[in-house]
Amino acid sequence: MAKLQNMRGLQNFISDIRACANKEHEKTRVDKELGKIRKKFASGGNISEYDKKKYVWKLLYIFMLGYDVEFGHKQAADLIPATKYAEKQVGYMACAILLNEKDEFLRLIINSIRNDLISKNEAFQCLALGFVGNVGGQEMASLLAVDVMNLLTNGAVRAIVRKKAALCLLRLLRKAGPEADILQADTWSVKMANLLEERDPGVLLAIVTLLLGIVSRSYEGYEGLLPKLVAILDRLKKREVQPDYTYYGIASPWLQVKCLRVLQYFPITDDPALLNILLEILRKIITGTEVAKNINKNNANHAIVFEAIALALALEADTELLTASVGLLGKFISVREPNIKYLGLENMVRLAEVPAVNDAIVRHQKSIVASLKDTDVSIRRRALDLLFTMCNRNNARDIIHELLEYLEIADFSLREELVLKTAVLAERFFPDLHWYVDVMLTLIDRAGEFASKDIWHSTVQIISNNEDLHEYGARKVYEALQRGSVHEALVCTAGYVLGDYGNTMKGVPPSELFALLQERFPSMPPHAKGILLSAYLKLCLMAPQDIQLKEQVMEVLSRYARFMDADLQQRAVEYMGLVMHPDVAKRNVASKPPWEKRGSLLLRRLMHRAGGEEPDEQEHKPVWMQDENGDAVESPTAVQFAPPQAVPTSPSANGHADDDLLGEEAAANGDLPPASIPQPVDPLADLYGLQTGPAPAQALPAGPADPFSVSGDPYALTGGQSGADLRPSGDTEEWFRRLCASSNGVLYEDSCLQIGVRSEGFRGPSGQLLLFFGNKADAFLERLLCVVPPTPQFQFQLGAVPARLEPKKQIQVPLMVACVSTFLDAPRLQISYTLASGQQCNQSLRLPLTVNKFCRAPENAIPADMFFTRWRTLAGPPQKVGERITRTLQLSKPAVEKLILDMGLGPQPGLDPSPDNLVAAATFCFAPPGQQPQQVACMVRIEIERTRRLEAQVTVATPDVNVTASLKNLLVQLITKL
Amino acid sequence: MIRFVLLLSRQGKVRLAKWYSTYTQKERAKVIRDVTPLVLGRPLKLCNFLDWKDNKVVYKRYASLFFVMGIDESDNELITLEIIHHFVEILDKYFGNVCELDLIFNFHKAYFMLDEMLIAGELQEPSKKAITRVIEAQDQMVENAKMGTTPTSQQRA
Repeated sequence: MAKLQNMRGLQNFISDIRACANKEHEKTRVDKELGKIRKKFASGGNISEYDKKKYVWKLLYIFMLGYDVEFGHKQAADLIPATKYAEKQVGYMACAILLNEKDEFLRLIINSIRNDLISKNEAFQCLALGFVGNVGGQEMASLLAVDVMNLLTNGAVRAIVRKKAALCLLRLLRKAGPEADILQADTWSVKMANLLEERDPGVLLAIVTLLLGIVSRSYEGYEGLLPKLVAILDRLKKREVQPDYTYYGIASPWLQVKCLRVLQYFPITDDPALLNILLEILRKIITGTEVAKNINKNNANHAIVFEAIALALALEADTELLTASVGLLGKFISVREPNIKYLGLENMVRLAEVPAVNDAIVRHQKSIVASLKDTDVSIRRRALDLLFTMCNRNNARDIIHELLEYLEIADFSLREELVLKTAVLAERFFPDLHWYVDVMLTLIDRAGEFASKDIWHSTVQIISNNEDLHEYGARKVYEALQRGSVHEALVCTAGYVLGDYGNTMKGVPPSELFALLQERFPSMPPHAKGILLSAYLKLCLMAPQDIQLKEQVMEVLSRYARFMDADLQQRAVEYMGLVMHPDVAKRNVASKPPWEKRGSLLLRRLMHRAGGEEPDEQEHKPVWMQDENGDAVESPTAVQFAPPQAVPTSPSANGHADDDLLGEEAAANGDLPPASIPQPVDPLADLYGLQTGPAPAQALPAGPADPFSVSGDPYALTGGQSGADLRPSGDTEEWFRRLCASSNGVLYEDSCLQIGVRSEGFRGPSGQLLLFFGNKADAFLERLLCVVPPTPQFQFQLGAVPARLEPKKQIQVPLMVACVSTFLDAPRLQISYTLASGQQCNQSLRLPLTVNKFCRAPENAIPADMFFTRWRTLAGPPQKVGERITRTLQLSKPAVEKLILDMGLGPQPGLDPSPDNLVAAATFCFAPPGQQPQQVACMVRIEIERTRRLEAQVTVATPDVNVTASLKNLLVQLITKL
Repeated sequence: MIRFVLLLSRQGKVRLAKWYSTYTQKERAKVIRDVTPLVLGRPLKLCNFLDWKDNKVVYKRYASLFFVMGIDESDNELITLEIIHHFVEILDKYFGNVCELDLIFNFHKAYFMLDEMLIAGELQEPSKKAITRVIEAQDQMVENAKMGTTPTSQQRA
């Protein structure tokens, strides 16, 4: 292999790397080499040209291995202005691999590139053209396009340079701004016409490729080139081409494909003779291509065939030719060769949009359906696309039937799309409504979790809008429930349909329907439970004489009247009132009114998947973004209560309004007579009923006044006693601080008991703390008590705590938390237990429910002007408060930044003019009972004193006094001890 | 147009990577990370095309190497497959029975040949002969330049 120059250093290095046993060795070897190269380059100018080249190649190799070699960019770029080809070549190559068009570095070499372009050295010109063609961006387009155009049109320049110039120009055309003066049609159409006379097949390919780039933007002005393109195609088909340029006996398939592609962009020519020649060529390609033995020859031939079919479509060719195309593609679909099968399906999709050949395509339906079961997912996907496109009123029954069959075996990656597409087809082509209901219910049943809301919403919509479907629909869902369907979407559908039309079925008592639904009730998520509760109410009203049913329903309702979820609780309470007053209920509970037609839910969904926005599902804009649209909020209180929400007309419509497909709920009229409003229930009244015995809050030391000091003085109670040491084995404050910026950790530990915490959810108004109680001792912990004293700022629901904890055992207790207003101090957890010896331990611990836990970091960076406007609006205390911290240890910015991130606040780098300072933003969320969740925008600035880094200033600004104070105190505490 | 060309070993090591669309370093790494398992994980005898995001991936395995090209959704897949084959034939002609080791130790040569075959993600030269002629001429120029180093350095001295 004499032609491969030996570069021994490079070869040795590559061998070394290959010999490395693992990634670590490789990294050591690479680091060593990088060190060496860096030193060499830093040492100044004494590197031989050979070495320079060698080092740059090594850097490239290292780069390919995935390491960063940024310092080498300059070394590579330095080789470009070299006068020797060997160095220049390496320089261009390395820069092309290392840089992309956005790199600032390109600015520095643009002059050298231009010098090479306008030099008389052909080899240099080639290097420069190749580089610009692969890496060039907008700036090069404006600076170099003229030189490149000159090279292309200069007849004295050799073919090897001109073909590169043509493609380089294509790159610049793609990158140039719309206003750039590059390849204007008025002058270039003539030049292109001349260029198409080119006889060198390499140059001609490049020119036709360039033309494709031009006409794909606009063909206007270039119509005159049509005859020339047809002539080129004609020549190729007659095989008038040099032997070098045939590929497996085919005259330049690349050029044929490009010509056929360019022609698709022009409107149909009004010259009938030209059109005839072209159609004749296409006819020959489509009907005359024979299958060869050689795979490469076949591929090239078929590449041309597919392009010809696409052109025949664009030219609106006669039905005969299109039918022949369908026949050919149909044959492709039924062959075993996977590539051809794939492309047959893909191209058939385009033909399926032509009504004239639809019948011809349907003839291949069987093999298309069979492709759904192909082993190759690429092919299955194409088959699904094709079935979707070719479906019409006549074959919808069959195709949908096949799709439903396929749904049972389809892979997960396809399912969601499959479900959606089946639903859309059913909606578009259903032959009769009963059939539609059958299909949709089967779909919901089989799709499982892949059935989106829209699908069952549509089903309910159709059933309730058509009176003659009421009984049919009710019976169908009833049957599905009897068969044992348990999926959420089906249960929700059943809830709606049975609630409204359950009584239309003869011989099925509401109590049976209730039993079927109630079986599934416990495993349903809250919004589905809400739907079921409404259904229960309606079932109850259907059978006023059924006392047993009424009792059962009341039992469920009364259980949920104390439920944590505000929506469910409210429903339950209201419905209890209605069940007790059937006369009121009769007047106020009605079935759903018919739906307004508002376009297909499913089609919107499909469009959304294709990239559009789905307006319904947009979340509320975060509080940060609200003053973007003009209604800038000046007063702090307004910010606090933004967004201004309309008071919901229906009390039960809050919460899961989004899931409530029927905008109006049963009791939604809002004009219930006062008598029917149930007694107000304190949601917390009974939650603590599980504590029997003395109220623990009194048994424990009173909470200290200073929220930041250690709880009371528990030592005093136990300090003097012998026996087990029941003092905390560490600093409870330190544990607490850690938990403030972490989702799990130790809350408390002594020699017998350990309490761990894990928080789940949050970053919003509610979440859950999992408390882990572990008995470390060898004996029982007796009379274990665990209480969260109620506070007006929070709602709690604590799981049951057993009175005895077995030795060496750990239990979990969930604590659901909802923040209902702003607050100053974290709530407390009080625990106590007794050892067999009689020793007692009481602790009052701060729960890590600090203000930041209910904060959400903004998703996007806050624009500076928005931030500062708000910052300035909050003039000073008590909304904007600062405090100075003095530390004994130096404070580093990354540490503070990490703390901010861990706390869940969103750092906003770049907002503060000084790089030493740190600015963060967040949204504090809380949800007052029965109201929309509310948000408070929080801004934080931390300045670190620059020289000694021992002092820092924390400033917090929010429109809410409590949030400001608690966030400031927390930050001060955490940073002081950081 | 061809957006990227990757040569992957069966173990997923990158032997060559060339980008014709603008990808940042991070995006390049992500493309490689995403595409590699898709391609390597495909059983034999399936089709050579994959849908991947808004692009299509056309690949073919030659001995221990996978040649992968990312193209636009509307591009002609089969002709791309033959561009891959064209590239393999060019490599084969130059190295004479090319194997993975040739491409490891002479990765720069593979890049040179690719650059003579593709520019701006488009096929530049359909003739194998023309390409090997150019590469040989380049080799010659490099050799000449090497000879030329001695007189210039002497002059400076």
